[in-house]
Amino acid sequence: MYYLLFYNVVDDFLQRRRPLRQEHLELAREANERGELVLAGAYADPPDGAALVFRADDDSVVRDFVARDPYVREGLVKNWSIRQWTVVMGDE
Amino acid sequence: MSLSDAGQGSAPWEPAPRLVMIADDNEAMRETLADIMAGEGYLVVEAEDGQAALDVLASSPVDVLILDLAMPRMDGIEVLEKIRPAPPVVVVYSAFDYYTPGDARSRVGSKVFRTLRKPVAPAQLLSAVADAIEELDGHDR
Repeated sequence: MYYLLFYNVVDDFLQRRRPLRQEHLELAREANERGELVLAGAYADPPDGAALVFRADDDSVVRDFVARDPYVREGLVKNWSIRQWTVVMGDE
Repeated sequence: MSLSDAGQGSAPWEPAPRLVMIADDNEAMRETLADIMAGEGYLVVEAEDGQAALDVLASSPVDVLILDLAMPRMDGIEVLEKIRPAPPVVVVYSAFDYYTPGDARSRVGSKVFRTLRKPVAPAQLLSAVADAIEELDGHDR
């Protein structure tokens, strides 16, 4: 199953993320290497949030990612939500 | 253009960090790739387009170039045609680009070390750069 994780971030996100960036990227990289995190990236113009696509048996993988993400822990993510995603097309 | 510090300091007996240039006009993409490389201890220099990449290459001993194909002012194909001597080049491209990696290989294939389609998996990028440096060191011996 696929899951979408949506982040809405604080206004000064780009400045505040710097000291947390490597920890966040390491978390994302590990999830990607396990085959759980399929796609991830910030919104463009304005970069006021991000969307991440997970492939997992259930949403516990996504919830664990959120719990370990320093951007969430340190308050850079104002709110987040998870939606199961019915993918009907693509070659991923 | 900006130069990022390596992620970790080097002990005196360790070889000098390798310098990797990332040429991509998309700031978010460029910064993310730079942070991934810096996190592995590479020195990273960024260029926002092909001309900026050539300017850096004219004065800096770049070990590996990570090169986007589609960029303003000067695209990746033109950079490949103009750089000499060329460091190993890892071409990154989007499925939506005008040029394909096949275009790059047919026009300047000898300079293309590997091609990676965006979005790039961090492990694939790090592996490509490590392989390029290994080959570079093999040629130096």
